[in-house]
Amino acid sequence: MRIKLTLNSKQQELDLNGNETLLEVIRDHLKLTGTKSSCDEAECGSCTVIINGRSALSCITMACDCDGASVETIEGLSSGDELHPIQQAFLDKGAVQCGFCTPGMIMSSKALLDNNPKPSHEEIKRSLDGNLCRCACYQKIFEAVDTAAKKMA
Amino acid sequence: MLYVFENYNMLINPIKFYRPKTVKEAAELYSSLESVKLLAGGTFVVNNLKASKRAGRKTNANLISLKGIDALKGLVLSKDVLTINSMATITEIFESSYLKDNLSVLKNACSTIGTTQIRNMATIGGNIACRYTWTELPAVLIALEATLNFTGKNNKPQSISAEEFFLNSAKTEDILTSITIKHKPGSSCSYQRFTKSSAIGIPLGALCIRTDLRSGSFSNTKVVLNTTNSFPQRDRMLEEFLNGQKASDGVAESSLNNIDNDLFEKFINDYQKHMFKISIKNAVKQIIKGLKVK
Repeated sequence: MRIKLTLNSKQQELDLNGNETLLEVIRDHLKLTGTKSSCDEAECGSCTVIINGRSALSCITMACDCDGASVETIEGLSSGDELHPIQQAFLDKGAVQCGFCTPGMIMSSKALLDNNPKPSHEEIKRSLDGNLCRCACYQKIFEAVDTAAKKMA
Repeated sequence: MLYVFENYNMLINPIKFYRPKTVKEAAELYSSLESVKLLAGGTFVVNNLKASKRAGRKTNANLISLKGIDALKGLVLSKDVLTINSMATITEIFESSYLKDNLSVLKNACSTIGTTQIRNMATIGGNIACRYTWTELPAVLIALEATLNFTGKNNKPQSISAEEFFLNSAKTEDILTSITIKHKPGSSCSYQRFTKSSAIGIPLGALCIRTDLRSGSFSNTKVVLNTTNSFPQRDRMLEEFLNGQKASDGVAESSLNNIDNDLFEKFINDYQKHMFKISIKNAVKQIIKGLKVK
């Protein structure tokens, strides 16, 4: 099955077999390995990408279903050497320990701030309810999102 | 540049993927293909396909995605009837501006489902059609007297009540296209749920009470309990007690003396029983409080 999608603002044409998840396509085939594969059953959020403006789990998204969709991954955030304000805030606030959950956390945060530029603390917590951090770095992550929101305002 | 993919060690067995553009096309495919599964948001089905491959079980040969069908998307409020098309996502539902009066309970129930990503992906149609006993919506849809609309073979439409679909375990081979619910400004509704711990999203139990109000009294009340191990049950004894009761503070307490104990003994463990009693009290109190505000 042939599909067209916009991946990180670039048009892509893919010829798929039908059984690929979006995660398999972006990691294993397009070699965009920033998006992490962890639980593979929609529990951890490390595979989070943004599809048509909303955070979504690429491990349970069939790639063929993305025909015509706009998909954003962590690789699409920075422009050249300049980090996206959310990425910079994660660094500045020390919101990264092992870093495995970070791309998913940042993509969920971006989806939040794109739709709600001035989120409350509760809204930040709620928007990250599908992202697990085994280093339990949550407080720093919430602070980083809050800092990024203020910087982007 | 065209990327061509080799079918090597994928997490899902080889499957033929269909993405029809109309309900008619989907219904025709669904009735003509063998070993076929419908795909809505994917939050249940894709996981199941992976789990089946991991367990060495055979999986369906064909998958029909309903995502490309525009007619199945969104919500419409027209002449006091809310139509939720089956591919409306849980996020779209709770963000809808149509959810007022009796319909506002949907906002409450939908906002508690899963995580942000799951709410963005999962659809109301998938939630209903999967027929899992623990999902949030069956109790709410029964209490709201929702109607489920299907399109079957030969594009033939049919409708059944949510109560018939869930309580009688009605099975259907048709495609769920929409859910219709009457907007009743005089109707009041409360949804309560409890989980094992705040970190676990799946409810151990959920309860929805809806009542129409006539001269400050409960009328046409529906009390629906949802547990993890059974399809929703109506507590008709409690409904009978509540009907005709004046909306006063004592009603919540007396409700607990009028629950159907047989129903509770049959389906629910001690913890659930205790939490259901608290939930019933809170739901009745919430309805009464809402009345006083009005």
